[in-house]
Amino acid sequence: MSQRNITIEELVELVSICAGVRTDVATASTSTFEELGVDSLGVLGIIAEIERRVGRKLGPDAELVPSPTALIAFVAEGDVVTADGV
Amino acid sequence: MTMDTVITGLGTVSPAGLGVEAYWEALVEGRTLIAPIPDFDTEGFHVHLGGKVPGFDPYDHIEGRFVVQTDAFTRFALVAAEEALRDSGVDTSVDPYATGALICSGAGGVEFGQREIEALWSEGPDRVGPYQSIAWFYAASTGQVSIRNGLKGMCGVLVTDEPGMLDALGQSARTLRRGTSSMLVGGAEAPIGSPFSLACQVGSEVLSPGVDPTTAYVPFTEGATGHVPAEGAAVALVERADVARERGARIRAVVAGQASTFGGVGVFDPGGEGLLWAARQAMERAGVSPEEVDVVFADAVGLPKADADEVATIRRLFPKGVAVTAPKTGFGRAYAGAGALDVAAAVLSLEHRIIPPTPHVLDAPFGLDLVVRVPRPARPRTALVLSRGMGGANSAVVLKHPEHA
Repeated sequence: MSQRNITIEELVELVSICAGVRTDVATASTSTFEELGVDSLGVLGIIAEIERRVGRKLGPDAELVPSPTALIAFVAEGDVVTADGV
Repeated sequence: MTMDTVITGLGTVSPAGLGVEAYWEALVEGRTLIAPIPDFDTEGFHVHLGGKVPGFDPYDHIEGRFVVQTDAFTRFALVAAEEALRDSGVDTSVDPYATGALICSGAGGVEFGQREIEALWSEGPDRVGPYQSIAWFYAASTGQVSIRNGLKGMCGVLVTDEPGMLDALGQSARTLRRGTSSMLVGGAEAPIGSPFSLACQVGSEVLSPGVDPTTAYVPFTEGATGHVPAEGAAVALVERADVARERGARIRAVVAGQASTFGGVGVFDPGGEGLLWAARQAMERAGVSPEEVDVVFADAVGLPKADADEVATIRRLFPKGVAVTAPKTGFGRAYAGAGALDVAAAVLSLEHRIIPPTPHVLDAPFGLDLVVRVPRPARPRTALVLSRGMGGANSAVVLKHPEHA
């Protein structure tokens, strides 16, 4: 059975596996992918892994999300949400 | 055209390990660095030996975000470039646009590609990672070296066999003349890390089927049956002589002249005419006579015809004789990395005043003053490096000791 959402802890793990960037929950929660040093191809890899975990496609808009918190919201809401520029 | 390009930084990743010091130590010893290819079963390949960079864990040397998106050949280039840059003392942050990069590759990132193709066939297209789009590419090393070091100057890639580095030195001289202050030039290759990499080479029929590391790659001998493939990289920081002098840099060698020719498709320059022309032209551009060349770093393909052609070329160039060496017989030919490692060996030879031997070749062939068995103390002031690619390209470069330039 597929999970429905992803957590910030999972995303920290995926950032490390897919993009080779080590971070922590506090930093990931308040940074953009760019600030973390994750490039656009890294974001694509992270999205592909999330799609496998949640068992559905997130669509082309997913790669436009600027940050880990926005990506978590996108997986939950299916929409691009940006809060306070993060 | 005389050149005013100097080498002020050098970095190597070789079967001797990391760093120029380890490389030179192995060369002087004439150490055997050829061994069975360790990463997969070579049965059915007709090639079993290789020169592998020992114990290389990329995470010890490169940030994780570069590791996940690079093939081994690019990781070698990154490490060698870092050493060369540090060695040169150039601070690229002062003007990022003043430094460029040109790292040659012959095979690209086949090892990375094999992993992604395995994912494609076993699990489907969704499993192919996005970094496949850049990691396999020949230009990946130039790009990543530029990105990691914040370089924004002219960059390029030469997709070549062995002569790449020599050609790159010639190209960089022109780039420097147009205003770029310095460039990282080199060659990097990782062709024996995966079955697919090796499969891409076996059709060339130039690799030795030997299983004894001490007899598999013995050019200029009756036992020659081809060469052993190797991996590795060498990168040089080159800059304009006036720029180097102005900042008080240690000049390791002067790139005095270079020339390239093309000898024919799919063969190593039949007859040696193309190599001869390249060598003569490089010497003319450097303004050196045959008497002034103290040592030749031979191409040493390891095939009877190609070896005979090279011996004939050297004898025509130097009727009075010249010291010749081919240190790569200790570790193999690393394609685009090979010419780069030869240039590094030549620079170190000029610096240390020692001509390293040609490992595993026990006796000099008739009519060739090949340095064998032990290193030869000498005072070489000028070195000629010769190189041929299996696609027919030839290149020659003349390097001078800075005190004699």
